Amino acid sequence: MTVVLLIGGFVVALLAGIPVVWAMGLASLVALTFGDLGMPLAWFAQQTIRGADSISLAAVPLFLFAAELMNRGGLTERIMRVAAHLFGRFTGGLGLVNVATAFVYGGVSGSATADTGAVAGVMIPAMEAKGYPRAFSAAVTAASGTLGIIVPPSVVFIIYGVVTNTSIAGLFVAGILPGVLLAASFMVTTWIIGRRRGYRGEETRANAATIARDTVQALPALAMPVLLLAAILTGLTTTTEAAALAVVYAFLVGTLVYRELPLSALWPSAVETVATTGAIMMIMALATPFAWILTVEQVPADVAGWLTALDVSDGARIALIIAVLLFVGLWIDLGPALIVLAPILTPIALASGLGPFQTGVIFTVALGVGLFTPPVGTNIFVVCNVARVDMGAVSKELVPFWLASAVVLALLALVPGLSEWLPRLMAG
Amino acid sequence: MTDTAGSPGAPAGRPRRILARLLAAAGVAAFAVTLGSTLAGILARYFSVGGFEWSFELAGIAFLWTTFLGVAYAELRGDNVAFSLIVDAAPARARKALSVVSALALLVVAGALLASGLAVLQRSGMVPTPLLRWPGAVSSLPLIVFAVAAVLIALARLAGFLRRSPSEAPRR
Repeated sequence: MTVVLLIGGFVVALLAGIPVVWAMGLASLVALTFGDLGMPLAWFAQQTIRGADSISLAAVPLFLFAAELMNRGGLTERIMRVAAHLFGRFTGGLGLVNVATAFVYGGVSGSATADTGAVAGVMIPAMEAKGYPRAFSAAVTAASGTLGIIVPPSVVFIIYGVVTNTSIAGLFVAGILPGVLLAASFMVTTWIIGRRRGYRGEETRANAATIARDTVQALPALAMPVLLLAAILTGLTTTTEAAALAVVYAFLVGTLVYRELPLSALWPSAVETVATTGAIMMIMALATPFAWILTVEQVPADVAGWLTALDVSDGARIALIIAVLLFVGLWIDLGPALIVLAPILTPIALASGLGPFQTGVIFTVALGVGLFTPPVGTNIFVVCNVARVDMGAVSKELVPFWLASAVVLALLALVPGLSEWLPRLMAG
Repeated sequence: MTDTAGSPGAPAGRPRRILARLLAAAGVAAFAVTLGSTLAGILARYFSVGGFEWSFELAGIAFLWTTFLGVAYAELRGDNVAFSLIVDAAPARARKALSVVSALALLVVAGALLASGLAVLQRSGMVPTPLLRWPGAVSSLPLIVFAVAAVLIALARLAGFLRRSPSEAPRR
């Protein structure tokens, strides 16, 4: 009865257009009031505070702020220039540049929305100016924006690590190869589309001096993710400390090296960070009483029992888990979906033979696909807003990128080494 | 200050601007403390300066304030993600009704968090924190502050809906 009230209340509230965060809170309240939990009123606030009370999670606003500073400090254009030198001359050139820019920017922002927003503002107008259809430019940007949550540092990996008690540093390292693989798959997709439609690359090539100058200028930005990972992996800093140092680094690069970050940009950057942090972390906070009720009512155990009792192979069970993640990702934003599903499905995935980091990466990629699939795709909303283009037209252009993501997901599930090898190597 | 368009039925005018500025300023201050105390902890450790062991406790407390002030500000801006497919497809009258339901849901959740938060404050508000020995209320107060702000936002929205005709029902 309590579970029906909880899940039924949540679904009804969601369908009524109530924001996910309040839908979760309302469903927990309904279950608490009309179910058979028998908990005192103070329990609700205690659980909610507990959900946000983790020093590891303090890395989230710090990384978001560093990304804001980097973006306002002229980082995206510099990354794009280097990417243009590397990939601009190939078929579908600017599409490839778009993916490469999103990949590198992902190493700074840690957030798909930040990645998509930053790259969309620069790349969509640039692609349009070179004759690429607006819907296609928007689609490439929406898909490649997902790289922000796979390429370390990733805000989603921090949340997954806290929720499932998995090493955040390990997850960061585990995301490197899958990030490269996903970027490569998007590049190949863009190249194939470019070849079929005749999107030609840049005919004029920059001279060596220009390439060298642009690369040197972009170096401080390109070095940031490498320095961050090195600091965390060598034990020099914790993830939260590395995020604080990233803020200092972004500020110094923006003001002293690039000289494009005015002090007046600090306030709006901080305000954006506070709002985004609140929106993300409150879901985490209110998901805690929600998940507690599910656990007390034995839902994870029942789901695990049901999935284990299925007379299918481990591979089929893993495929079923991925299918569930993809389906939920279509409807619910990545953050809340991860917070609710990860504690339930992770033990089953592990029992079915997936490695701990492999599971984290698969969960992130599978739910991340939902960011660029309708009806609820945050990246699509961002690019449609920037490009002023219809969601249907963008969705049509996204079909090949969904297929590419499906291939990557299959590879990640079939080849554990893609996500488990590097963390093990680093751990010695 | 970044203060984008409000959410459906958002309270308009001066009170909304004042509340937005208060929440943003307090949120940024809390965030600055999170950043500053984390950096102070790193510097103290690497330069072997004693007496900064409290820095991470302070960072954790300030982070809680950042979160709860931030979510109130995000709600005021209409930043909280919703599944709006059905609401968007609904006729104006139904859309207005669903927007009222949404504001009521916020009111109920915020009201429950307020009552529940006050109960926590009563029970453990004076239990000292491990290092700083501050009253435990520093960790439960941000939730209460958020709940008060959210109740005000919800009430203002409901009042706003009462003043509007169905044809003015906003789209998310």
